[in-house]
Amino acid sequence: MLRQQLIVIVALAALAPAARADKPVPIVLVNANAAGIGLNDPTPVAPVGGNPMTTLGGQRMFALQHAANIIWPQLRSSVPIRIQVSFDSRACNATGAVLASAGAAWADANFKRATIPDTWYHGALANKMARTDLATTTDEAVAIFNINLGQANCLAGSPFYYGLDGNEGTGVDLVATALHEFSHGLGFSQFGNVSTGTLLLNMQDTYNRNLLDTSTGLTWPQMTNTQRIAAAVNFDHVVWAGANVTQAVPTRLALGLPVLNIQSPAGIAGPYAVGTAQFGPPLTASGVSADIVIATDLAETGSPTTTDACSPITNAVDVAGKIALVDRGACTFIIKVKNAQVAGAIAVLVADNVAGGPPPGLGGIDPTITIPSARITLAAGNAIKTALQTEPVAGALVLDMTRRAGADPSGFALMNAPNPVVPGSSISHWDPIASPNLLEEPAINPDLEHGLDLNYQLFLDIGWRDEDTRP
Amino acid sequence: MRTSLLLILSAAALAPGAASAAEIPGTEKLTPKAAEAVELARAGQAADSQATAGARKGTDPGPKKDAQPGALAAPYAAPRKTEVFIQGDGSLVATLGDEYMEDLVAVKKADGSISTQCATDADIHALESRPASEEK
Repeated sequence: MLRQQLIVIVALAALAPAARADKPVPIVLVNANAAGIGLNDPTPVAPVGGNPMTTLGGQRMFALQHAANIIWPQLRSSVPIRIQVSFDSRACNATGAVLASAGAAWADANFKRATIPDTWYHGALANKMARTDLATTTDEAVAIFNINLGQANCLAGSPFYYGLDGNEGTGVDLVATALHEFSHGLGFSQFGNVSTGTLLLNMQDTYNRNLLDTSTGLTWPQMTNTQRIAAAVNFDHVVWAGANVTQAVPTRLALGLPVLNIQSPAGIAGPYAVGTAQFGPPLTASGVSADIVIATDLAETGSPTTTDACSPITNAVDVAGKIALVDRGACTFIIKVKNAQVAGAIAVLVADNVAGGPPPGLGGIDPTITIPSARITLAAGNAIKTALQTEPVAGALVLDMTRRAGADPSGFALMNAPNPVVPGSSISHWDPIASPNLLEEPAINPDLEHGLDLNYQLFLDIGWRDEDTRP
Repeated sequence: MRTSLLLILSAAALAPGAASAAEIPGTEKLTPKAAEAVELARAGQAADSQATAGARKGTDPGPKKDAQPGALAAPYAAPRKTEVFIQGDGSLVATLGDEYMEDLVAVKKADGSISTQCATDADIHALESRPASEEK
């Protein structure tokens, strides 16, 4: 009897679809540089930050392979992933440069074993789903890094740092840059146009089908082109609806969303988005509460307005003990905040001088600044100024502990949706308000660890699952 | 492995007198939505105007996988266009153009620190035409 049961069990097991567990396969970096150039540059160099190679080209390739080696153990496929890499000329000048350009080289739809019909898959993911190389003569992704970085006419003095230890100093961490760019090529990107709202051949892709506008309740593919144009700039309302990312949000994003809460007058009361400062103390849950007062200074050559706080504050009596409101422009943020601090302000709001949102952060370094500060939108600044013409305005610069930084009130991860739209950045990155910082925010932040963080869960959501039970 | 890559939304196919989409091998296997998208594109009403016409047959475009170190100078140096191909099995392949590349831009600020940002074409053109401004 027992034997018969075993036979039946074995027979049933044979009929059931076999759970097919793909294994991680190494990412193959295809060196596309010519002899003696870029990744083949023979210039002798000393080992640095755990990178043992002793030629410039060797160090570059070692750092890129290090980044690839962080990614591939977390991606399951039976088909090797090939990324074409090179160091080549990119646009730059003395104070700015394109660090790198990257993306999927091809996409496929309606191939055999595609899980979802009429859906574009990034090449590497399509190969995984198909269990075969669908484009045998084409690499799955491409990444080009700026060969001139650090030279006099190309972000002078800030070359790529080829160490593996994140100790880039004034340089640019190549490993972090490569992790960010490779991720775009492997699936963290969509094939629609955020300016026109159009989709590639009017078909969804495996990325944008996870995008949801919580204002309308529509996913990206459900929208019309016009609705997608509107959604692309609907910051704080475009989220990633995939289950794996959403489940990971509580462990990846910190409680406490920086916000300006206007308490009175009632006409403008409510929460306003802020961009936090790199300098000064961080915002806290208890925050700073006070009346908001416009700080005034003298009009000077180069800073003609009297509200930009580029020179000593002239109404210190009014500002002392209050939250100072100043305008962006004419001088650096740290000068403005420092002037307000000297006048006795307990916090500073910098109102943007261009329309749009969400407000970006305030950059700069000054360890002598001891009061919190934040940027608010032009619209928020104007609303406060208008109200101040007739009555006091009270506000609090705080962390909203009911929300996570980078997630919406329902706990979905927010996508970058600035207004105006930024092609190349909008929708294809996390919201930069995320804290701790995430790899796939629009910027490479210096405090990033060399890991995939939420990208891993996003990869799972678009189809990089560990097991494949399909026949 | 798919052994053939058949005619796509090509210049030839779009020319007057060219075969209709229904006569292109592989199109009979397209899903209804894909067939509709192909017809729209052929009629010059491509939902995504970035999808451009191009004629290739029997092989994939783009860099070759057998590239050895030093074999290719700068395969992506020239601007790339997005092209969509119909495969013999009814699937679609899009080789992706420069508009789908993510450009990461860095700017040095007044205090010497570096700010990075995934960028627009305008940002990149600004780098080429004038010095980047300090953040204020």
